[in-house]
Amino acid sequence: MTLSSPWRKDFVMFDDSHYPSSSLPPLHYLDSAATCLIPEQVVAVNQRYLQFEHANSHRGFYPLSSDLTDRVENTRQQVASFINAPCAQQIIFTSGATSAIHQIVQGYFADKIAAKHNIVTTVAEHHANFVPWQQLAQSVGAELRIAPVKASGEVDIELLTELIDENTLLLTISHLSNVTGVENPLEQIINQIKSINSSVKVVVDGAQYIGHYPLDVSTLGCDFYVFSGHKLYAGFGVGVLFCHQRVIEAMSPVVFGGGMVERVTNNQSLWQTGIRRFEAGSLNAQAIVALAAAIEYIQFARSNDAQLYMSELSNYLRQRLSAIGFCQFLVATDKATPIVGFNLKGIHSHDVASILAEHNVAIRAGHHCAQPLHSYLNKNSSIRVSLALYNEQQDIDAMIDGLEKAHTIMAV
Amino acid sequence: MQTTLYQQALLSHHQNPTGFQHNIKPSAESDGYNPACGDEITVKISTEKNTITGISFEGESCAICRASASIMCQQVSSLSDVQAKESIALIESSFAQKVPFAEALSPLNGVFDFPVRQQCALLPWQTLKQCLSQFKNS
Repeated sequence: MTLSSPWRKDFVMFDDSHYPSSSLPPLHYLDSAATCLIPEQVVAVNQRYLQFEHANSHRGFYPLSSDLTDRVENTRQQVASFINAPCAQQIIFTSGATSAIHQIVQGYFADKIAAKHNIVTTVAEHHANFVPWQQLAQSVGAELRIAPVKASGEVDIELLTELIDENTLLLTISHLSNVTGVENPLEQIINQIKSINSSVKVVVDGAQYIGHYPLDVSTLGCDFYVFSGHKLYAGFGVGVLFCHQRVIEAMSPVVFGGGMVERVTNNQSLWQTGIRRFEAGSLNAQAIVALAAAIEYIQFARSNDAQLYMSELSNYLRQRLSAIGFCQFLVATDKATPIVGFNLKGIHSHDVASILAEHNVAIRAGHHCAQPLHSYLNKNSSIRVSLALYNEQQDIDAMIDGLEKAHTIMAV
Repeated sequence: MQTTLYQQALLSHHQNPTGFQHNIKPSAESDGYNPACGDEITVKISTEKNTITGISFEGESCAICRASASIMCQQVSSLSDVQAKESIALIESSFAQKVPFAEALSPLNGVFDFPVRQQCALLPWQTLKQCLSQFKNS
């Protein structure tokens, strides 16, 4: 049976009739871990917003603005329900996952960390969830402790827990690796960490997880969870920071400006009491309404067996790659997920990506903003293939054809 | 089999590179790194009276970088440091101004259509430039 996506028709980028003068072969987009393409349903909401609904939310008394304020706040509630957060007042809109992490670093931990503390993370983090903590630790002379991963790509829980002590301020960890696609068993990790030191805060980078699997932050037990809209079919411009109630009151604003203050005098400023104090300046309402449409889209897809389809497609991807004798997976796991990292024996990843690019097969090559992981695995780069709802068997077949061609051309 | 970027002449350099891991007694050496893709290269030169008498490169890099390094080793061997710097300047300005290369450098012409890969081709030459300045300073 051929795997065909019932959602592909929603993404007009795959419709060749839109490129009558193009000499390129059909697009095979396999780089959704970088950013997801945007379905027509979200594009339509965006267009309607730009034409008829654009205003500055949380500002005006007129219907255009107040209606938009309602939509933003309804989206906040929608996001809370989507990730099973207890309430909308624990959802902060940011410009993306990176700025969400910055808010946590500077707004929560910067005034709590001291030289005696340590921060625990893993070697498999994206730079966005590695560099800010490295810089924070260095700013006060604290220690950054880095847990290794096992051959399977999962963080080594035994070694990770050994890094936790009474001076551990926080653990920061990704839910799904952006390089290997391996999921960390977070519920188990968080339970173990908190049983060693209940005051350790847990920050989760969910940028790659959120688009593929249902999320329940209440069950997870983390203190902070971040993700971005553009890896959820919403396009660029919005990120989400979930904060547990136990941390939100102790967090300070990082960006100052309009919309986040209660009262300003010549000598001092008082912040708003709710989460709006973390959202200085004009909100990117266009991106937020797109996020609402994207969540609606993905929920509808999930109610129509999207996860089963993605599981079958991920299995097909792994099976085809495994059958190539010259494919070397970065980690040894049999668990197929929509993201997979590998190299072709003796061929640099950029050469593979360039040959695939000539066939309009879009994959990612390089270190994927994860240099510590590549150093740990003793690789200077890798190839990453990542799937989304619009992919189907023909994309994987085209990619495999390209890999075989690359091997024929490049093998020394 | 070849592609627009990977013409046969470039592939020949990649598969049988000149100067790769040649054993020389270096007067100077430099490391080059392309943060975009992770290309790493070390260029070594031996010199006598301001003339390059030996050149070698090593490291883990893509085919474009490796072929460009091979061409570089052929081109600058026996040149004076001034002539070598002129060659480097020519390569840099040709990429900047999109002026096609002639003769021995022509395998690099395919790179013009792939701006993101130009840094791969430039890396060996820029590393040699560092190497020459180090040699000059010492």
